[in-house]
Amino acid sequence: MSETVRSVDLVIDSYKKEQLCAINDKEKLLQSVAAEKFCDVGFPTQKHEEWRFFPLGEVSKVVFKRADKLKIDCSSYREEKFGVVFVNGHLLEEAVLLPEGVEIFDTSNLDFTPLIEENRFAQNPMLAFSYSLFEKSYLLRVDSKAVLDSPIEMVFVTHADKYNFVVPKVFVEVGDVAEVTFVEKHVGGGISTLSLPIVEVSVGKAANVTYVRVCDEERKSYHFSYSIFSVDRDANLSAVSLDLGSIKTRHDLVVMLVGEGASASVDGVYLPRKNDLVGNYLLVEHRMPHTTSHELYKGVLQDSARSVFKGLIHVFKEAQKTDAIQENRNILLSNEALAHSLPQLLIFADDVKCTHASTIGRLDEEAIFYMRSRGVKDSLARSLMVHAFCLEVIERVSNSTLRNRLDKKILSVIPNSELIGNYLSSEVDV
Amino acid sequence: MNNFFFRINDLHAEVEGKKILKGVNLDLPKGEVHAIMGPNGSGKSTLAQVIAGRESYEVTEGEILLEGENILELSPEERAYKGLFLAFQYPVEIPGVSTLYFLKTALNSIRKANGLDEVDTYEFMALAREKVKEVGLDEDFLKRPVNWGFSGGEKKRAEIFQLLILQPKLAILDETDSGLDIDALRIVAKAVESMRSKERSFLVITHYQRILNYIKPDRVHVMVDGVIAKSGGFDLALELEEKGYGWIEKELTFAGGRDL
Repeated sequence: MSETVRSVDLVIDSYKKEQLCAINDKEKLLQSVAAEKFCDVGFPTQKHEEWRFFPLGEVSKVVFKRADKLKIDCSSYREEKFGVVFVNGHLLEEAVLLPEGVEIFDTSNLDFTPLIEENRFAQNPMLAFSYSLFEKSYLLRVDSKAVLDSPIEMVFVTHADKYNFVVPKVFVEVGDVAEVTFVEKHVGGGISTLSLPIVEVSVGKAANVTYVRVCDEERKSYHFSYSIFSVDRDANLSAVSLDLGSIKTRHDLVVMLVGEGASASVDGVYLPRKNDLVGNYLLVEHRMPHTTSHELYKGVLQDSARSVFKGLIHVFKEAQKTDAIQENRNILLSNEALAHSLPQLLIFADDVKCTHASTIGRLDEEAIFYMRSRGVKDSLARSLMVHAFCLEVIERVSNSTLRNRLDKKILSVIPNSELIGNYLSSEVDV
Repeated sequence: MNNFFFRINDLHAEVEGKKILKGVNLDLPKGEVHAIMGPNGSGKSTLAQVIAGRESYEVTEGEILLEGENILELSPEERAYKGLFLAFQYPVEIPGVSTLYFLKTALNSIRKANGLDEVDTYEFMALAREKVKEVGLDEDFLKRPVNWGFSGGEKKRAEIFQLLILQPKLAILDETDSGLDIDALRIVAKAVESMRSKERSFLVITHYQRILNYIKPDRVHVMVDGVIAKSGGFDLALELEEKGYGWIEKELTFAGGRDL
C-alpha cells in the first residue's frame, strides 16, 4: 500500500509543481481530474474486474522515475517514407517527414476536443495514472479530402533505464473524406521500463482509415497502451494490432462509433511466448444507428505465456440496426500456456444483430496428420498452420509492403518458421 | 514369396484400449489393384490410417512391409517419401494454407527425399493446370485453402487431384466413392485408371461394389471385425452386392483371409 501512496505522491508532486505546462488547457483540466481520481483509487488490483487476470506486479510496487528527454538516432526504427518519431514522449523535430496535407503540432495553443472524457478514468485507473503524468501532447492532423498512398508512421521509442516511465501522448485527427494509413510502432524499452502511451484518433465523416499498431518492445519491458477512436458518419476504420509479447503488454482499446453508418473492423494478433503476459481489452461502443463493427483477435501462445482477451460490445439505446461480430480464437502450443477469453455484450437497443465466438484450443492434429501423410514435415506442418492462422488477420491490411512487413514480424516469432520459406511470394497468379 | 511389394502380417491395432484390428494379413503385388470391402465398423478405415501412420492408433502386433521394409517404424512423412499415399475418407480442411503452396511443398519434399530436383513454381503450375482439368475442377481452386469450404464431392476430387500430382507407388483410396454422384465417380475412376501401371498398386477401400465397376480390382478382400475374412476375385464383389455381408460374418472361421 505504501508504494501506491508513493506513486500517488509522484502524481501529486508532478501536478503541483506545474511541470506539465506544455499542454493544452482542456487537457490540463482533465489531467487534474485524472490525478485526483488516481490519488483516490490507486492502482487497480486483481479485485478490479478488468484486472482480474492482469496482475500489475512490480509496476504497482516500485516508484518509477520519469525518463529524460533525449536526442538519439532513430533512423533504424523508421520503415516508411513518411512519419514522426517520439523519444520518451518527445517529438524528435529533426526526424519529422510528412507529406502535403499532414501536419504535427504541440497541443499547447490548440483548441480541440479530447476524445478521452472524465468517465474513462473511473473505468480505468491505469489510464488515470498515465493521464496524470504526460508532459507533452501532440496533434497530428490530416486535412479533409487528403488521399495518401504512403502510410504515415508514428514511432514511439522508449530509451530509458530500469524503473523509468514514459508517457507519449498523441491526438490524431483525420479530416472528412480523407484516406490514410497509419502505422503506430512501439520499440525500444529495456528491463523494467514502463511505457504508457495514450493515443486518441478522431476519424472524420466518410473518411477511410487503416490503423496498424505494432508492439515490438524489448521483452523485459512493461507496456500499457491506451487507445481511443471515434468514427464519424459513414467513415470506416480498419484497425489491426500486432503484439509480439513482453513480460507485460496490455492494450486498452476503445472504439466509439459516433455517426450513422460508421463502421470499424478491429483486429489483432498476439504471439506471447516464454513468461509473457499479453492483454487486449476492447470496448466497442455503438452510439448511433446503422453502425457496424467486426472484431477478430487471434492469439498463439508458446511456452508458459499467458494472454487475456476481453471484449465488450456496448450497444446504446439509440443504436438500432447495429451489426456487431466479435471473435476471439486462441491456439495453445504448450501445456503450460494459458489463455483467457472473456467476450461480453451489453445491449440497450432492441433491433440489433450481435454475435460473439470464442475458442481456445490446440492445433488440429487431424490436419497435421493429413499434411504429414502427403510428405510435409511435422515441424513445417505445424508452423504452416500457425502462420495461416495469423495471416487471416494481417490479410486485412491492403498495403502489400506493410502487410509483408507484418508477416515477417509474425514469422520471426513462430517456431520453425524458417521452413516456410517465402510464403507470400509463392502465390503466383493462376 | 520373396519379391512381394506390399504385405501386412498379423496386424493388431487398438485405440484407447479398444481392439480394432485383430490380425490383418494382406498381400498386394506390384501393379495390382485390390479392393477391401466390409461393413461399417469392420476396421477398414482404421487399417488405412494405420498404414499411413496415424499415431492415435497403437499397433500392438504385426508388421507392414513396403518393398521389404517395415514402415511401422517410419513417420507419416517418411512413408510418403517411400511412395505411400492415402486419399482420406474425410479430407481435412486447412484454413489459410493454399492448395498450391501445400501441394508444391508436398511434392518437393517427396522429390527431395528421393534425391530429385525440386520443381519451381512455374513448372508446378504447368503440372497443376494439366491435372486439375482431369478431375473436373476449376483452376481457381488451387488458390483456395486446402479443402476449405469445398463440397463433399469437390473434396474427393481434390484428393484424386493430389494423387495425380504426387504419383505414389501405393495409393490407398479410403471410401473415395462415398458421397459421389455418378458423374463425379466416373471422373474419379477415370483418373485412377489413367494411373494404373505395372509400377503402381492400389488399395481401394469401399463399402459399395459400384466403384469397382469402373476400377476393376484384381482381387477383392472382405474385412469383418478386424480381420480379412474372405478373399476372392471380382465375382466376390458382385456376390457381396447381392447378398450383403451377413453370410461372411457367419462364415468367420477362415484363417487369416490369405489364399492358402
